[in-house]
Amino acid sequence: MRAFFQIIKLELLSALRSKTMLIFAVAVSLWMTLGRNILKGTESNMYQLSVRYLLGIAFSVVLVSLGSAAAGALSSDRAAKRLQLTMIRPVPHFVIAMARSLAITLYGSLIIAFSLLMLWAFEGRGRMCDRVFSPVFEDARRVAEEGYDRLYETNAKFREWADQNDREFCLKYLEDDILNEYVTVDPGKSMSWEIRDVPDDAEDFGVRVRFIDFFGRPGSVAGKFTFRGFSGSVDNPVRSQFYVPLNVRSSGSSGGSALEFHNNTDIPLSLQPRKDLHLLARSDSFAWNAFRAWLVMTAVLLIVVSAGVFFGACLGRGVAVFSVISLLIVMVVSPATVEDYPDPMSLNTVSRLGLKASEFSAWVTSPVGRFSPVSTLEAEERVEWSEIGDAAMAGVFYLVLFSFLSGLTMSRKQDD
Amino acid sequence: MSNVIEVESVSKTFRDFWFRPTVKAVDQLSFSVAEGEVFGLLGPNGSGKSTTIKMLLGLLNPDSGNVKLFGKSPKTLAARSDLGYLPELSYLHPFLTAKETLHYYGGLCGLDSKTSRQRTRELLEMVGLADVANRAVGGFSKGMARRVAFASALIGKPRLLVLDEPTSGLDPVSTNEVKTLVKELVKGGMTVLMTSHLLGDTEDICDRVVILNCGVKVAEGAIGELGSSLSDFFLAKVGEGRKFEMAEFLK
Repeated sequence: MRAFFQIIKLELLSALRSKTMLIFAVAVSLWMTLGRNILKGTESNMYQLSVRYLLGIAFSVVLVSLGSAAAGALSSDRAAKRLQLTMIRPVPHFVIAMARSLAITLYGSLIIAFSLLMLWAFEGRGRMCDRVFSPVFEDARRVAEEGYDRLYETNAKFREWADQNDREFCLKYLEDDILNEYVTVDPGKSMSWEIRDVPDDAEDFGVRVRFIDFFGRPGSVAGKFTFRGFSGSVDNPVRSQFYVPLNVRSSGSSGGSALEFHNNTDIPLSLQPRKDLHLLARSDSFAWNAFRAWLVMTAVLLIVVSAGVFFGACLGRGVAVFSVISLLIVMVVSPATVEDYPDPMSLNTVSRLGLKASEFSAWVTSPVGRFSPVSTLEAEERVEWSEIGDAAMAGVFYLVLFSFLSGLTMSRKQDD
Repeated sequence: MSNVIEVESVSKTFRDFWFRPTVKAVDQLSFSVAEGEVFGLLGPNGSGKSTTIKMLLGLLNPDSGNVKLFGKSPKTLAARSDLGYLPELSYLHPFLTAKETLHYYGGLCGLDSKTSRQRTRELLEMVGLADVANRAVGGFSKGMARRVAFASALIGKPRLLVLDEPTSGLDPVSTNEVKTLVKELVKGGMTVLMTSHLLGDTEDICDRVVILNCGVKVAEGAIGELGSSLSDFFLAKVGEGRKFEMAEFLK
């Protein structure tokens, strides 16, 4: 155990004495300060811009730089022949990789914390975040599977289409249809949706919603949302997506879990509740939310750094650094390519192979890509503990996996 | 007396990216080193000394044959915990001080903080670097760096010390000190395996030697058994091989 901490200490001392940490801190300060002054000239929401650009770019730079540093950690030591002096000591080789991954993550997380602290100083003081609750629906995947089986039995046209495509593609198609399904609230009528798990002591609510404008008449929405005795009205909003604070409290009806909308117009109003209807409950301060986001960011960094250390254990420094940067680029690009999901029937063989490769890349990099603490902070939504738990578990899993693989390859690599 | 090192019919061939053999570094090498012995591994450049040492340290896997330290595979933690190694060049972390370097390796050897500090102090005194204990080793001369590396090889109180060219880069006074130190360590029960190009030094310290040429053992024996001068014996053995190679080449 002492060996483990000695290796962590060595890595931190290296970062401190080589002034890497200081340079990072100065660079982050300069970026946040100068960036903020540039953003001051815009008319858009300053908070959102600050989170998206100042924090988002600082976090991306930390991922790229420390991923590259991790790729160089073992490979440089091997090239300088220092690694063998550690490897011949009575320390399991995976412990060497694990300790170095943790040390690099530790100082990366300090830099992220510093960025968040600066963001708090600029924009975060007095700001709150919301918990987001979605209406309860049946699982879209399950509905799609049931629909697929039913349609396959009863609908000849569907059967013909399904036979020409693979099942997975058809299910995704049906699932998209279900997620985009819209409901219509008739004039003068009400509709309600069940919302679960809202804490009993929550009092400050709002609704984020988007109505579909079928008739090309913007601003034709008027109505009232009600939840647990709190209500709020909307009347001819300017934007298609808007926020309705439920700031009127009526006496008596404080329980219940239904979010209700009453249509006050003389036209039917449609919306896609699976996508576009959310109840927001005021949670806690930006500072706490930033702390939770920091935990998720640290876990994401741990995954990238562990992969970097592994690349450095089995490749030369240059190739290892290139691999980490490629991994991060693929992580950013692949999900967008897969999201667009063009119809495979319209693709030629080469494009289909490209799509399959993109899907594979998105799958490989999904442990990092599925966590998005920066966009959650930007939306002023609460980073949930479940997300922190998932991120931490993914971080620990990949740390252990990559450390064991690094330990195995470190010995083999000496043969070169 | 039990054997600390046992090497049995060990061969190692290096291969290129396509696994084609490029050089046979060690061929059917066998020798053993008894406890408390100072054993020399001699040979010209490229004779397979470093490869043999790397296999002894568990850094390389032999293609065939067996290597045992204290009766165990050198890859086991138990074998590694009784091992100290001084490489040919010092390879120190330049930003650490001499004290931190020893403390770091002490930690890796599993010493607790108090013991590690005490041992660091003793070893720095022993190698004459107590006055510069808090200076970064990146600024040390080659000789000073060598002493730090020597001390770090001894920090875990090893039973076996592997020295690769221990006097390389040292002035005559320091060389003499190292030789005296090795003799002292052996008196204390330590086993030493060393390589050196300086046959005079080897003759002074070693009890027995193995001479390698092109990965093959050409001679083995106690210093006294190899003739009046180790240098003459070495040149005769290695020179014979070289002459034969040249003749083959000219053919």
